Amino acid sequence: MTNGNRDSPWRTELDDLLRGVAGAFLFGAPFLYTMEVWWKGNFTSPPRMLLFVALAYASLVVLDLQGGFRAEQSRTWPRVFADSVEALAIALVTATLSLILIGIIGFETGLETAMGRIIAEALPFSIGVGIANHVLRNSDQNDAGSKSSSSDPGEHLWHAWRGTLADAGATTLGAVIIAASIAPTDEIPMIASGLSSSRLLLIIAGSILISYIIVFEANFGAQHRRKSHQGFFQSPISETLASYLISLLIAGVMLSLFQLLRLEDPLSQWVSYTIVLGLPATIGGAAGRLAI
Amino acid sequence: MTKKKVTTIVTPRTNAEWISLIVSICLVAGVVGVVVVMWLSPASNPTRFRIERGAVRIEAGHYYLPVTVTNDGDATGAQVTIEGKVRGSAEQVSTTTFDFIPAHSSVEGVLVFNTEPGSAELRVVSYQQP
Repeated sequence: MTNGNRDSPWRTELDDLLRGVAGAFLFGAPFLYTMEVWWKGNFTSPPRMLLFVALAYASLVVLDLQGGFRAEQSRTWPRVFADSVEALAIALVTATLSLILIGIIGFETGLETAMGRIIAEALPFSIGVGIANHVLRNSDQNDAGSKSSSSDPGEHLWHAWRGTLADAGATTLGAVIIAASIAPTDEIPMIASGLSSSRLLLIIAGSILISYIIVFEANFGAQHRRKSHQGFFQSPISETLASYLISLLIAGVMLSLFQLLRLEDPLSQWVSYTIVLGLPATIGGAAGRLAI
Repeated sequence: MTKKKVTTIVTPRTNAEWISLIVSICLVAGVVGVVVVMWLSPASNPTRFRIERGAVRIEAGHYYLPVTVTNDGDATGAQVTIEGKVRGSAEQVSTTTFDFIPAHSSVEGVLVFNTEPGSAELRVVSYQQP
């Protein structure tokens, strides 16, 4: 496994949990923007909710045997069962927070409805946690010390440009894949219409945080290579911000392509729709950058 | 079996792992507990709506009457149609339909009238059981 990963047990645990969170959002984002999933939660009876929870837990046990969300694989049965409880908790927390963020549950939502929506949404989020390691496995061995050999400043600049273009391209591609599939749906106007400006700011903050967690904090995929990657995207903060801006741009383009936004529409509609679609788009963009 | 191929790690749990495990168990147990309580509590009240009116606002000669509909029952109502009727020389009816009003939830809508709706009668005309 990774060598910089064992310095502190707290750091390792945080990395593992954040890897689970990242996986949850990667797999769960399209389901979060599917109103049928919330609607099913409106009239899910408690026994069916328990069935959902049991199904999510069973899937997590199976997925944990195959990869799970921890860097160090748990292979004893007590560990597998315990890790699956943690994975389920991560899924429930991420599903709850994201439903609150986009205004699908709030104080005016009844308890039974809120639980139904959270539990229905937690199933895809659970699968995301369960496959976090599998989809985005560590692959640091392939690229150790490969990039830093050149001392010629011209060549260095060329590498920087190429790295930047590769990152921007991957962000664009990932954002297009996710945004194109969500943009034509009714969820965007539906979610956007219920949001205040302060909530939009929270969504911006949430998008940037999730994107950051996915690429830099969760320690999966080609993350160590990313840190030594050359390019203007090199600093984690600037990379996250730049890729968020790219994702917003892609979201806006997709929305106008599918005619949810037209030139004569008011600015507030452009802003709110774009920010709402920007959340899944930036998650797609982060996934895209991990893939290169 | 794939699990034979991977090295078994039997290191003891660190404090950090214990804490996240305990927190996770509490969270999951809490969710399951709430669901079980909902299951066991006799939640058999049928759909029951309460309508509250807000402050009337006048826009270009029309009266906008905000209404808040709360479902006090334990079952969801779908396609809940609200009607407001102003009696008088010219009787006026305004309606609006809400897709879903889940149990113990409230939704807001606006009825628009041409005359002052202070005395409007508000009622639920119909709804569907999903």
